[in-house]
Amino acid sequence: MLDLENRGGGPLRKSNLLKLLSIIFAFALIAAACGSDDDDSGSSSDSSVLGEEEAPAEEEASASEPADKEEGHSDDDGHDHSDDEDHSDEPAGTADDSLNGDGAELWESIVDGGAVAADDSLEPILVTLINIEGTPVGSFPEIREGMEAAVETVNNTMGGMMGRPVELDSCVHGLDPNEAVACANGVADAQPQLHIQGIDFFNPVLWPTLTGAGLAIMQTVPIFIEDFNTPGIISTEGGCVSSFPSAMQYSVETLNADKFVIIYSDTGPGLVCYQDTQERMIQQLTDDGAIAQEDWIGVSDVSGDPSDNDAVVQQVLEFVDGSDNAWVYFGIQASDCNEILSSLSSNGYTGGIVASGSCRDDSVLNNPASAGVHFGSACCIPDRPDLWDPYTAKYYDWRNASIDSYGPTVPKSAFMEVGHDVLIAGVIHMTRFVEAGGDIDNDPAGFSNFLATANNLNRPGEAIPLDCTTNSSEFVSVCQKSQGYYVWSGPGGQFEYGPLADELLDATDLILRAAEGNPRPAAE
Amino acid sequence: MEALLIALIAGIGAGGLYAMLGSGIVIAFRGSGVINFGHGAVAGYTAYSFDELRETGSLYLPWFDPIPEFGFLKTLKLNNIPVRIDIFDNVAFDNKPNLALTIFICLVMSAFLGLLMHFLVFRPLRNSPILGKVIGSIGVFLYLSSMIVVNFGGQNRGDEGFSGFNNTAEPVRNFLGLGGTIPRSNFYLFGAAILMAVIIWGLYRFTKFGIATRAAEENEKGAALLGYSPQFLAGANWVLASITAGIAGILFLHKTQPAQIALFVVGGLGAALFGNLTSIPGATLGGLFLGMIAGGGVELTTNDWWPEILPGEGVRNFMPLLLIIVVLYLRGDKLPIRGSISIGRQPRAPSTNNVTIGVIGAVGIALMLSNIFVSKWESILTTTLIAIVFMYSLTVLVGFLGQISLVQWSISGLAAYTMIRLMADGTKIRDTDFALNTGWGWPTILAFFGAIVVAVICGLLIGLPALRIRGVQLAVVTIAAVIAIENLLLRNPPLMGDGSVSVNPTPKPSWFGQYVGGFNPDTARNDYWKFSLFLIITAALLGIAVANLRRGQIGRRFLAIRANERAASAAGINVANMKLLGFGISSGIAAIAGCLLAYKLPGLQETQFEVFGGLALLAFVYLGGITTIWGAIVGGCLMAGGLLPEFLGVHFESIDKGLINAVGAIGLIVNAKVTNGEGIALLQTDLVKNTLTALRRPPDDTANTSNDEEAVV
Amino acid sequence: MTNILEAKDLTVTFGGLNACDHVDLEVPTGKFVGLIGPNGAGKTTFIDAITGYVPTSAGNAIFDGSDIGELKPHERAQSGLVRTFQSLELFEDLSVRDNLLVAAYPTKWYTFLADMFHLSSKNSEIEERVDWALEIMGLSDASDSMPTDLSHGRRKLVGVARALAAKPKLILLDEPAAGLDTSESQILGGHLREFLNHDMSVFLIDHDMGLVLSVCDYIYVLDFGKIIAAGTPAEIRESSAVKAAYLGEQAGEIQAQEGERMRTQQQGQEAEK
Repeated sequence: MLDLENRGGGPLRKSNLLKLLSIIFAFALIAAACGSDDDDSGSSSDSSVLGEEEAPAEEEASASEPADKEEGHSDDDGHDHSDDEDHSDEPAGTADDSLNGDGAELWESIVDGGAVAADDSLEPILVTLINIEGTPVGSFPEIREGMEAAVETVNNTMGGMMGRPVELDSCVHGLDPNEAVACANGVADAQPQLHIQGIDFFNPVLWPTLTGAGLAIMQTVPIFIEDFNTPGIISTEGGCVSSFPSAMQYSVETLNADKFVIIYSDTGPGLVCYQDTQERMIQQLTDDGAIAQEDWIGVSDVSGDPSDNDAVVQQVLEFVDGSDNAWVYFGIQASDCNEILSSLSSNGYTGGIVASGSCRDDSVLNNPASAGVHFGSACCIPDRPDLWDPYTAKYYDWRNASIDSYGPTVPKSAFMEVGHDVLIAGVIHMTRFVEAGGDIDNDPAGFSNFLATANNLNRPGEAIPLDCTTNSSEFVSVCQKSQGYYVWSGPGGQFEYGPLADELLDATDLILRAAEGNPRPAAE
Repeated sequence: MEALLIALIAGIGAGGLYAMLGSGIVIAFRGSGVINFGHGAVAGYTAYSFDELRETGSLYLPWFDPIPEFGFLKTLKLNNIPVRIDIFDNVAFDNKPNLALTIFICLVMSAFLGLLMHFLVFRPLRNSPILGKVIGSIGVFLYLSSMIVVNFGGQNRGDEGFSGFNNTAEPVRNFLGLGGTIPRSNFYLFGAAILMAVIIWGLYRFTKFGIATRAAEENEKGAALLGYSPQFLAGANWVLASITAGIAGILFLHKTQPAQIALFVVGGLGAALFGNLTSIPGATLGGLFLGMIAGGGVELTTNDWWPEILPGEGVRNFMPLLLIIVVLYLRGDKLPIRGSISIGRQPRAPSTNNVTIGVIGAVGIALMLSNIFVSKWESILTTTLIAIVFMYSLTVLVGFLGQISLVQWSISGLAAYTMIRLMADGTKIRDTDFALNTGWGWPTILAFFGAIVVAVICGLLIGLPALRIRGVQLAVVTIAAVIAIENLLLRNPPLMGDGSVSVNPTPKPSWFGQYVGGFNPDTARNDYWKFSLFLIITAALLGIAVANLRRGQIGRRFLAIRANERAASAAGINVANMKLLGFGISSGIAAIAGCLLAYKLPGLQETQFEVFGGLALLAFVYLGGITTIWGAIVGGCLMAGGLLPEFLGVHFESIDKGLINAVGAIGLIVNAKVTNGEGIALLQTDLVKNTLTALRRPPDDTANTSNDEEAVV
Repeated sequence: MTNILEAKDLTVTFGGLNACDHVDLEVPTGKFVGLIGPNGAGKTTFIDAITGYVPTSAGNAIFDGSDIGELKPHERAQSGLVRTFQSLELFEDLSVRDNLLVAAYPTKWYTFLADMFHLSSKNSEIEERVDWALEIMGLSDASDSMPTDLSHGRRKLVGVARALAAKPKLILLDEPAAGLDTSESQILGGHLREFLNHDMSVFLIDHDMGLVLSVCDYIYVLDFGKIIAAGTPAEIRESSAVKAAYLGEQAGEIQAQEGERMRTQQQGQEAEK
């Protein structure tokens, strides 16, 4: 078959125009695919507006409702133990600020007040998001979609933020930190009323710009230590500071492990998290006499590398050999949990396992080796609405409906819920800030401070409030310091209460003690 | 000691994977003379497909629906391209689809991937020079990796496995009296690898098809005599290779995350090279050997007596590289010629005669942009410029000298980290920094050159194998070097400072008393004008230097070597010295790019210098045009985060970001075929020239003046 | 008279067979020596061995008074022993002029600095040499063309010009006339002897007996790796060994048969008398 164009030698005979066209075509595809949600993707005015617009009335309503709530407040018992109480269908209030944190009742009153649309004639509230998507090593569009769902709900049914529509401006980037930096520059220029940091592998590179721009910042999923100890950022969600110190305490004081192995991920953040939030904590416990030095050990596991799993487990088996109550803890990303779990099982490990909440995803729960594993959870016992606080149950239902009505394009996951909830939290607390007299448009530092000094901060859906005033100096931004631990019965099963029952273990004290007794090394 | 033996033996599990991947790579090579870097991605895609079928009953075809759904197109209701096929209904945790059927479907999918690769990528490229084929296979790797993200999401999957290949079986205890436990599935994997090797070896030995393939390796006409067309053989071998990749992926799924499987290709490459790229038993043996070393290495490196300056994982990742280099060095001249001798025309590399004008023009544009841009665009501009500087290094090494080196970006990282270490002095640089580095507190300029020196030395060391190894084999060595550098040198706190394992805080650079970092201390944005100016000057000077290099004696020599090493030495050129020179210059330029990156960002992470980063940069400079300065400039503007996509992105609705990489990969493959690596730059030059010529006289098919001495910058 | 090149007992073995079998050969300085032989005789192998592209198993080669056995190919080229290739091996990406320049300028790695700063100046002597090489091969008009634009014959001339540009002491021409048409062949033949006027010695391998016999001062004949004849063109013309080698065994048989027939005829004639 003659292959004219490739007769080695002469200049190509095919029309250069054809070549250019194909390049342009390829380019057009690139162009079409290229898009960052830089502008106007906020679902503020475009999506259909439910219900009637009641501009003046709604402003009054939203202004008056919290006032009402403030005084004569909720009748229903917002008590945690409500095993016999069915989830209420009647619009009776389930939230109780004194139990669930400031903002819970506000949310409930707005939600119960009927669907109210935001007033498009008012100056919108700008919320920005930076998020990583589309890369082979990590892609989290669900954070953004959860947030978009929340924005839609806020604007269509909650009357915006005190009537003002909320506009979400997302800057999505890939694996190049330069893209992230460009996003940060853009956010700093845009001067939003609130910036929410999504999942980003380059957080530390962005903080100087974001905090330097004087913005109010909330986080969805903190990963790096810099995310925890940079002032000016509030994390209502977990990350290793929420999970790990309490896990240390749980294993040593609740489970009374006689041999304890901590498996940590050998990535940058994993290693630092181990050193800073596990090793120091358990060392503190050792210093306090709760466990002997030789009875615990940290073992590093290379993320995704199959060749070391067995060797790692061999180390574990060797260490726990001969013990009666051995426990292994791993607080690594879910992607590695499955591997380690499988590896422990296939090598015949018979001791106990505690895993962090980040480990909890469908693939892990469907792994037969997961039966009997204790999972941490920042909130309540997962997937057991029958055991939940009615406020929690109500919020979860409402939130799931919110996401469903938005219609996400990616599979639902815990991250989607996190994105949704952080945005709701932002709007609720912003409302509270304004009602307390704050200037949301010109005083971002004030808003930031408002959050940082809250000692009874509601986290949407969570029955227990956050206390940001007890953050240690080492972890200034982490307000969530408690975890519950629940036992998974196995694939096809459900979560059950463990030794703690429905209580959460509060590691605040341990964190503060460690700041004194085993402080972070100053310079190395 | 026993623990070491157990670890070595347990390594046959991973070794089985490497062996199977290596066998597949050998099959593909024997069929078509191509080393497929995307082979692991085929395994990964199949593994994901298997898991998806078991979880949801759906099968995802390996493409995306490119018809955008915005604006008027949506109302046209064009028929969308099918992507998802729902095969099984009512799949639930306790109602998984039939295992055999699922595996069968998955293997059909892998076979299909093989056919696609053959018809869409490697067959069109069969007459291209080696670089084109390497780029093609890199495109496959990038494309399939992106498709995995788009179709299956970026999240992890885990599968408990099936029959012997699962995690819940009783482990083998006290194997050979050594105590300890070894997961049962490791033995199964070992067995599967051996079985596969035997079957394929038999296939090549005894069947007509196998014999024809072997004949075609030596002489394509010979195969024709046996009644097989060489292209049919190539295609059939691709299918076979992909099926083996699929099998490997499915069997190994229970042990790892499928997203990682694509990267296991490096171990597979090592195994394949161990088998001389032609021997299945050799590849199998090599793979098992590699797996065992890795397993044993874990045991050794986690001992207390193991020196900290040799990070365990780095040593384990260095082993395959060392093995590959040793094998190639010893057997370099006995390796099959296919894959090392370039057929097909090399991309033209015209020199630039109007350097001054071009530079003035480019600098002028850059300065103007810098002045009018707001901070977000300023940052995009600096990203583009740093990428351009880096791409110059590829222009010199890959474009002029024709050495396919994939490691330059890692060298940039090495330089950046070295510079950080040299300048560190144990104090906190910014309040937001967490890690502290100790160092020698060198001043900026000294550290800058110190970093360049270190990078050049590293580049020369990597260049040494290049003296014996050519073409694709060299590419394999350099990919292995990427992983080795990242894990051995970068993630090494005793060597590079504590910051090197997490976020490495960059120092504040000061040239002649002027702070030239990217971070603007007044506005907290990353848009400092002095940095932009510094960057523009550096990019311009380096561009001039590289253009001058092309114009001068060394440029001519490089091109001569690229064209024909034998004739070059007959012309008195010391090819070995020249190659080392090329590696040295290229590493120096890459080092400068790395240092500039460190000036811009407040912190660096070693994950930035992983395989994907370097491949993406190579992909875009190739798209722009690997042989000219102008090509590097175009490439820098095109890459993700560069001027052009960001500009376009502002005006188009957002589509799944993962698609960008997939589309880029397609563009890469198309470009390899259509422009032969000359890229957009020369395409545009030709177009301009031909248009002018056509305007002056009627088009004449036979007379085609190609005065390639001039290029428009 | 000194010899610019001496091969003593040079042997190259490939898998049990001697491609070059104890070859003794001399090229006197300033002379034009030819090597001929039938296909597969080992001529190109000889050049490969002399220039360092294949290893020798025995014997040595002395160039300009020193043993070059240890030198790499490029070092031999730098010392003045330059060859052309039968298969051409041009630098397709460089212009004709650049092809020559690459061979003409000596290599020093640190010139890259001068290049980058555009400080290197043209060496007029070398530029003139290149101009001369182009002129003598009739390529002056093709100076800026790419090799792919030229006819096969002219490409071969480029190969020769490239070797000339390197200012060799001894130029080894490997089948330079193969593939040339008559006029090109004549041009080449006409100029070959001119080389001697420019401080060069020439060693020519070719198939074309006519060319070789007309230009060489001395000729060696190679068959099956062995030198079977050596002498001036006139001597070679007469050599029956050469004829036998070229025409093959058959020729000897035919001659023998002829001889037989003639003898028989003669005998017959005598018998009739």
